[in-house]
Amino acid sequence: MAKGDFLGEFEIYVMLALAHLGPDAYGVTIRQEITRRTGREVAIGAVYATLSRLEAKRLVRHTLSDPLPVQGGRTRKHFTLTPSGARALAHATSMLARMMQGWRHA
Amino acid sequence: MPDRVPRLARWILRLAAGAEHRDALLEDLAEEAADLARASGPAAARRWIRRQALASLRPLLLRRAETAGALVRNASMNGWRGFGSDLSAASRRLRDTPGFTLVCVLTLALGIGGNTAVFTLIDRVLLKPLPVPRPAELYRVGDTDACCVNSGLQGSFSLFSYDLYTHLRDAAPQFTGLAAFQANTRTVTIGHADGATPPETLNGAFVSGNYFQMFELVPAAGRLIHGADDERGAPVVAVLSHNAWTQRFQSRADAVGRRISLNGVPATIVGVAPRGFYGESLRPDPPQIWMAIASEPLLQPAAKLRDGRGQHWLYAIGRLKPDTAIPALESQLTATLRQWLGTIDLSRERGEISRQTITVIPAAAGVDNLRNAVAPTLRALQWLAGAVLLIACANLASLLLARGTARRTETAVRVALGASRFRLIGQFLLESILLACAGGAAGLAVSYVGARVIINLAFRGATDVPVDPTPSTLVVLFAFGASLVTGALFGAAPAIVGSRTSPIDALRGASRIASDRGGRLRGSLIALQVALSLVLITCAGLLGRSLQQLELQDFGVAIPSRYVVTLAPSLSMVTPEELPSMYARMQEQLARIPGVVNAAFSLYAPMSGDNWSTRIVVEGRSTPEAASWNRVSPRYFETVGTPLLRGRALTEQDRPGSPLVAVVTQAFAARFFGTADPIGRRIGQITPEIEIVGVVADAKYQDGRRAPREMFFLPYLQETSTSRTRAAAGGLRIDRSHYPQAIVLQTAGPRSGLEADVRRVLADVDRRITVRSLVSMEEQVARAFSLDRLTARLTLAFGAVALLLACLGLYGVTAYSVARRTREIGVRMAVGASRGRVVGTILRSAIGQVAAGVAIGMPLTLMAGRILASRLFGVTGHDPLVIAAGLALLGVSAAIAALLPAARAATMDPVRALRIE
Repeated sequence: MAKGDFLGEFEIYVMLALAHLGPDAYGVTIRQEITRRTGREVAIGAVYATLSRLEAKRLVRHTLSDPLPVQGGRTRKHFTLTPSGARALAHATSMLARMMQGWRHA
Repeated sequence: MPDRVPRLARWILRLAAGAEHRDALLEDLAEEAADLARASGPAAARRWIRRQALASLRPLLLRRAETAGALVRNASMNGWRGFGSDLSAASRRLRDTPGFTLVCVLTLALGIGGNTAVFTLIDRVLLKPLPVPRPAELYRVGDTDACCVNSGLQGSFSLFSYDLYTHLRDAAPQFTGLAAFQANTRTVTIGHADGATPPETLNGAFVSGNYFQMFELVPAAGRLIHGADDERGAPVVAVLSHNAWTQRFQSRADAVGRRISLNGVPATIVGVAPRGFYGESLRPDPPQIWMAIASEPLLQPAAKLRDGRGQHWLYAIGRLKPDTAIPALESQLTATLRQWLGTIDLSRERGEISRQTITVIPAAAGVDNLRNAVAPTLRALQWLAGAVLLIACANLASLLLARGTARRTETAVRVALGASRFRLIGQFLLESILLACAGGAAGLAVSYVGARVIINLAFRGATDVPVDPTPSTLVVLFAFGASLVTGALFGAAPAIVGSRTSPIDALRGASRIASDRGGRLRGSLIALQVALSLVLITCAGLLGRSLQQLELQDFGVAIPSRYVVTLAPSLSMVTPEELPSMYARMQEQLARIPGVVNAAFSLYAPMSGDNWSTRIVVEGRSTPEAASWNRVSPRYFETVGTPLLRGRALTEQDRPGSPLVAVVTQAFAARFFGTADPIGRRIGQITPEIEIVGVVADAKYQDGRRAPREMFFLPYLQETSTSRTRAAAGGLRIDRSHYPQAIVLQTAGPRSGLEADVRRVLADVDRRITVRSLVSMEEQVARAFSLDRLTARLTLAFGAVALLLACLGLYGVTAYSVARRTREIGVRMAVGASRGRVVGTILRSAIGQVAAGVAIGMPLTLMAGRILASRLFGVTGHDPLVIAAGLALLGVSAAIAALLPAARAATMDPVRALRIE
């Protein structure tokens, strides 16, 4: 990741969701994971817009799953962090942690 | 599953989301909604989806804006690379199918080329101003084309005598300069001082001293005529046109200052006009040499037009000061005109003075004789060319449609692999635009040749036409625009139809696809082409028949084995006393040329376009009337082949001093004497002094389309009181009507090399006789109908192209439908359908398309016939024979075009047909 290029808050959420979900990460689960952890209803469009942005930065990539083993089963788009995505997430979260050292909210 | 998402939400999301994750997004949404519906009911699921869709709108649109911005930023890298690869793919596909590409390019080349050729001429002839600085300032005094020389009143005055011109010039200070110039050109014989070079003839025009200065021209060499050259008694000077300088003087610098003789009068060439300046009127054979008006009486002693106060022979054009009020100028000039008319002898017409006016019109393009003559033809041609382009476009569209359908498998595979519809349409469009550009380039080549051919056809016999067939920038832009519009317009429909392919089609075989979405569109395109080509071929038939009627009509003279020699008017150097013996020698010597049966001469020849008319008085009738007249030599009527109907022809006995006699035409006799015998009656120009001795058949001298004029013929040397008065008024010893300008020769058959013999014989008779041209009567007649022939031939060419294109289109569509229905035909034949039945099935749709085309085309044809009617001669606009012939031609061609593929279908082996994938 280029120097000085910060990840946005929602980008960090999406990447963390991918890290938590592992191979199960696709649109539905990512959205639900963020909603569950933050307690806020997240729009699927926001998720995909962010995924698209992260893909463009080569922090995330997608693969197509095999069709589901049911009649007319769909193919899902699964998202995973790329190695540079994983590095960028580690970097961003550690920077955040360092920024938060010695600070307590009222 | 995406179907569970309500339509509105789906629509919004499809619109907002980028192509990359659009489907995944909708499927995810549907999946979650299904779960929610199971848990909380469909209503809650719908509400949830609506909320999701609305909340997704903003982030999705923001993301799209980001990508669009990145695309623009990276356009120089990625965008153009994508375009470049599309472009090379498109050109590769075109190269892979050379037959298809060739047909498309040729179709377009003909369509665009025809239009560009006609537009080149419209641009050069109708739109281009004079090649002088600031042409918009130029205005012409007078608005009609009243060529040559006129005495008497004109109503709207356009021709002026030199005296009247100076009055008008001095009365209108609004003109920074008002120049006068001769309305027509005159042949000038130019003799070289070295004596070795034989004298030659040039087209000359007399102009006022301020002519070149008013046009603000800069000489190519030497100087131009200026005010001092136009003073009485000034040395005779001449300015060459750039063309004459290049062609006759090989652009030699020492041509300037050279001593020459003009009609035998010593003169000096003082300079060369700028390149491209063709005078003030765009016309074939423009002036090659300009002389000052002051030298006219010296060079044309038989005419002395400059000194005749009432002899109107000059046009006037000037530069107006900015913001001049034209109506005020007109009334000022009209007042000057009426005042001037009051000072000259007008005898009977004096009461008409108050009705004489002068109009001032813009003259950025000079005097528009040629424009006016050819404008309707060019406009008509532009319509025809437009129709051909329309057919070409329709044809191209149906070709592209068929190709798009044929490539459905390929398209389906690409859609399945994720190609966006936008990109697919773009690629289809790119291909058709590429085709159109290639067609446009080829069209420019066609147009260059075409414009040249049109100019040669239109100005047959002219040696120099100042119209450049090279397409101008405007024309190139026109062709390029036409190509782009053609490509975009007629690539769009096939592109849209072609891209509307579902990926599932890739899995099935393309040949099994039963639906044919482009079929109806293709059918209507064929009908359109058939309709337009029916209109064009019928128009071609009508014009061709009209031309045939014009050329084969009874002109009142014999056409085969007749030749017309035109003389330069330098005979005016010959004294009246020399004339009788000279004419006798001329006639005798010419008749001795081997192969020449008869020779005669006249003031002007049949079908030469010339006409001399006069007021005449008829014994026993009180009011003077107008009639045309000519002076002819003995044996004239038998030489030109006009039959003598009553009385006698003119003979050697009708000489000066013997009783004045005339021969009249049948129409003349009928008009003035009705059924009474005209022989022995008297007519005259002032008093009835001439006795009618014979009646000849009517003949056409001026306009082949109109009925022959009422004419009378006088013997060559008999002076009438009018000719005597006119000569006296001009200070001449004999009137110029006694000098012949045309010789007619009758030969025993077609004769080559006649011109050299005639020149030699005439030079032997008298060196002062200069031959201007020799043409056969066939050629003379052909030249009279140049524009008719041009229109007929071009319409025929356009009609042929149209018919060919329509048939190609019909063939292509039928062949395509045979190919598409191969399996179906195989099945039909396998279950016992006869070959005839198969042919019938295939033909049915072709017949339907042609019938629809005829149904649309018939009313259009009748309409076109009505529009054409005024240009037709001897045939009506709805001539049933022509229309039937057009229909028959169309039917036969269409039958051939449709039968070829149908026959192929019928000879197909059903077993093989069934195996076709």
